[in-house]
Amino acid sequence: MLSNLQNVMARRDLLKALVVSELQSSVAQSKLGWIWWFLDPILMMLVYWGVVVGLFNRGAERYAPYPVFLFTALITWKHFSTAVGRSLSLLRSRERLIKGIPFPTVVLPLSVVFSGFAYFLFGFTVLVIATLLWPCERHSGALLPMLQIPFLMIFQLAVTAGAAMALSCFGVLFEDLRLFSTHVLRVGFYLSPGLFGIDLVSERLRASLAPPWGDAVFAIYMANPFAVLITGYRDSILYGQFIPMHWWGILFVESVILLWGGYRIYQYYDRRVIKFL
Amino acid sequence: MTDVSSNSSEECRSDSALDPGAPIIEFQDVGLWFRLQARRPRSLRELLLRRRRSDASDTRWALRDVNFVCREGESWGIIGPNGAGKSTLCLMLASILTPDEGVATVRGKVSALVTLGAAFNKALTGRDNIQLYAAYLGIPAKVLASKMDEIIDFSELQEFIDEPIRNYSTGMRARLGFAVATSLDPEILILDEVLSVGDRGFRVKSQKRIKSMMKRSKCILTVSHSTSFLRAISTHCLWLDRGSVHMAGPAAEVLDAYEGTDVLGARAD
Ligand SMILES: Nc1ncnc2c1ncn2[C@@H]1O[C@H](COP(=O)(O)OP(=O)(O)O)[C@@H](O)[C@H]1O
Ligand SMILES: [Mg+2]
Repeated sequence: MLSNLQNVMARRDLLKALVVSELQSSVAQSKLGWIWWFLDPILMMLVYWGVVVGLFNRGAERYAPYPVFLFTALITWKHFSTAVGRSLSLLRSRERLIKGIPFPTVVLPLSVVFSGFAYFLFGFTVLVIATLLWPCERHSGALLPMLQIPFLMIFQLAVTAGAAMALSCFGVLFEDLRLFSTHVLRVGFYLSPGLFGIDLVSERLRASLAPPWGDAVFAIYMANPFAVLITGYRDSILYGQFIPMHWWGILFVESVILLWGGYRIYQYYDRRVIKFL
Repeated sequence: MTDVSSNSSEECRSDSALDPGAPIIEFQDVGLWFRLQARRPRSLRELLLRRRRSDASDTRWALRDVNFVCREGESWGIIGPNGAGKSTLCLMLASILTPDEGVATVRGKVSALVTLGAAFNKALTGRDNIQLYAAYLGIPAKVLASKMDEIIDFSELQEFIDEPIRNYSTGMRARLGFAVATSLDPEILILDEVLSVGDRGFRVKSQKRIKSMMKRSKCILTVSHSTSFLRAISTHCLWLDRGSVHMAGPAAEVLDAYEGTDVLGARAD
């Protein structure tokens, strides 16, 4: 069964069953069950906070409350990096299944993206609770910017799904990609404004490059969809601000290209990669 | 053997729009190649350092020029030595692989009993796994709900059904897989060397079920090395050898010829 849109829609029950079984098995595999869904992001936040503030002693004042600031980036990036990392070895690890049952195999990368998104939503719940406990002094008081969140999430899903579809094929064709990917993803996290805010990036760039160049490089920096997404979440939750209109344009164009491109790539390699599993 | 990249999705059609006279399965000059293990671009490094265009020498045809037609009511046995291409043919019948040349048309819903239990998630209970497997097979939730008890009964795993299947033995998992996979009547049934599941008692039961499924399906394709078994169940036979059809026709004729060949002699050449 080919992985086209029609077949995926016809088999959306399968996609749902895969996401549900992923969540069910994560509960079944641990003693604390679903509590891990919340505990995991909290522990992740504490570790990063401890390392960054304790070891490097920075960030704390400029981006107070820093743990929350950091956490927004951590859960967003983790969704993407986990989905991409898993996609690379996904098809090969399901070889017996793919060769045993005819089904649109694209549901496999998609289920990784959606189940990861469920974890992201639990982290997001923690984030919202944390901001209530730990309000930011710079918050404008406006709640309306929160309306940006669902749209940002849709773009995040689109970007991640596109990347996961393309990379699950490339992962079969180029085995080394998985080894590269851990490093590329780590660089990606440091480049996306994870540990710092984009104000710092723009400040440094303007200070070190001649006038037109500083802004130009900053524009390139903001072409990273995760720079926009992470800043967007921070502006919505921490600062109560709207993000600039042209950022929506960037996000829209990029997610359409990635989603469509990933889908077309998957369609092209769909049946072909099965030979190489 | 030059143009090996003409793989197009349109070449494998599976229409359920039925023209009553049309054969259920139609293979016309079907061919499929695999890239040779040692020479495929395994790594990015290899790809970057030696940009080879894929040429004929790094591929091997697993099947070539396969022609056969299967009509409603027929039962085809597929025989041939190991590596002849029988499993590859089954993958194309199930539209899991698409031919690199020729046209493969399959009209109807295919059910392949190949790798029972590959869909399972070991951390989940038997019941959850039934649901997961059924979703892979495309059994709608409503239909499954009405079949659930029957599936559990058939698998004889009532006491274990709410336990995670990591606690099951291999045979128990296979039984569960078999019970789900055979819970719906298929239109086209493909059996690739899976006729023995579970212990002796279950084996008798599963063979009985396969026989009754065979009666109710439109056509069956069975891969087996047992000529006596194929004689009993098939009307036609396809003898594959090194990727091409050695002989095809009524079961008795083909099986007589197959049994007549000197096995050792056939190996030597
Ligand atoms: N994934 C694969 N990669 C490369 N070659 C393969 C692959 N699968 C099968 N082949 C080759 O295709 C031929 C047919 O294999 P197969 O259909 O499994 O044979 P059979 O089921 O008749 O024993 C064999 O020569 C085998 O080496
Ligand atoms: Mg085989």
